[in-house]
Amino acid sequence: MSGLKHIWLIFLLPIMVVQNAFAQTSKVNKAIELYSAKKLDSAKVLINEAVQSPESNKDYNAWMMRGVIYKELYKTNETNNVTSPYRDSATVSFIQSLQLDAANKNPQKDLVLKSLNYLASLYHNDINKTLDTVNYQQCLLNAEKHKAIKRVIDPAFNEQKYSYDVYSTIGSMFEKGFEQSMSKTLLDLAKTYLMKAYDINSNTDFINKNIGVLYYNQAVDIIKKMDYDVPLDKLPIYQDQSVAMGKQALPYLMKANELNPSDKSVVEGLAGIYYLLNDSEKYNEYKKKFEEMNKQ
Amino acid sequence: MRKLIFLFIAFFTLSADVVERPVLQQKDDTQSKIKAVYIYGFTKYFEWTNNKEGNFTITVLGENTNLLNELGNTVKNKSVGAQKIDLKNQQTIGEIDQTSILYITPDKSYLLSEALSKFKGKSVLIITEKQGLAKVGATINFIVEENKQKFELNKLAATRAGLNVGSGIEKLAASVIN
Repeated sequence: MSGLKHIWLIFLLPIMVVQNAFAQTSKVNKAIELYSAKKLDSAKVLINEAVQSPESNKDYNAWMMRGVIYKELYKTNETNNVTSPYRDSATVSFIQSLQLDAANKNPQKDLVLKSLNYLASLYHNDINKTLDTVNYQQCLLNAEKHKAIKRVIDPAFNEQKYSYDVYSTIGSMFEKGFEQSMSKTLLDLAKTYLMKAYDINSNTDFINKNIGVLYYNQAVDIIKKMDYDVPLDKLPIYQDQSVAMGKQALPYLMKANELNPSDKSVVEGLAGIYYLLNDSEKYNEYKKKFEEMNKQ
Repeated sequence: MRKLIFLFIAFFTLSADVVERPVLQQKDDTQSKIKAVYIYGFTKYFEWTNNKEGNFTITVLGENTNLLNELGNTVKNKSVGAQKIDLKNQQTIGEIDQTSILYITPDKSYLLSEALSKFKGKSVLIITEKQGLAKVGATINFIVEENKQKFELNKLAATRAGLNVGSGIEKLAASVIN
């Protein structure tokens, strides 16, 4: 992106000439000069004064310039900050510039769009940096910011699909965390986010498989964690809980199998569920299928 | 059955792809654990009128490695009264000298009548796992009802075997043959 600053300068010079007659726009011009001289903090002060003034707060050029300055401030100071306020301000400014240019008169509109696309990519990339059980809320925030930009600049953007990807990724991450720690909090979060993804699109083998496996593993864990000394009058309680969980897993893994019959791990999971449910006929059917798939 | 773990992260176009394959654990046979807990639990509900010397032996007749492992976990450092619990695996009735509990795997169910005649009156709790075997002499027969492991109790068979039946076990049984 280093060349972009020069591109901006080429396009910003005509703005300075056109707006020279006005007091507030002279603040914009001054901000452009300071930006060119790499005096970004001073440029920031002036451009903020300009966009707060009645003369310029409806000026798409002023807001565009604010976006340029804040983007540069982000690149200079906050590239490793996933919560960067400079980046947020740049985003808000470019979007404001676009919205003020309802008549589509801004000759630099394409650069505004490119900048917004760049900022959207940064938000998206930062999702991965905070994809953990502690910082996941930041993940969601950055995903929302990515979506907010895309909504404005990309009519073809499939927001539902994007949300599905984000929720299923976060849900899977919690599922992994739960399997490693057996924490109920992580389990609840895994269910929450996997179900959010499922509510958006219930017709993927991925989401059905993950939800099915989550329930199935819980069913297994109930018996696995059961004390070997459990009194026989308490044993049915554990069995009831485990069977109930296994029954919850079944429709999801059946659907996953329907959507992707070649996924061996789903077939193995189905064999596991039927074994857990003491259905030897179905268990043998899926076990045989799994063994045949392994031979291929 | 094995526990299936998916460490499966969705594909993200701009991020590093982290797609982990399922990890299969090999030792989570839930049904074997339930049976093992039942088998050990039965020691608290029956009285062995004979067989009170030496170790308290539980014999598995037939192949079932998972059940043997789970029984091993269940009876580890445990005893019945003063008798230390001992675990054995045999393939024929002839190999069994003395035992307090005999679990016959479904594959070896045809050996039930031989077991009944060999251990008649010798205080051996015979446990089977095939439909109808409680009616033909097994004291305990594992069955499946409503997707759960349950058991039938044949009190008459217990008496013939030389076992006293404790009061609480009838309530736990899916059905009782008097």
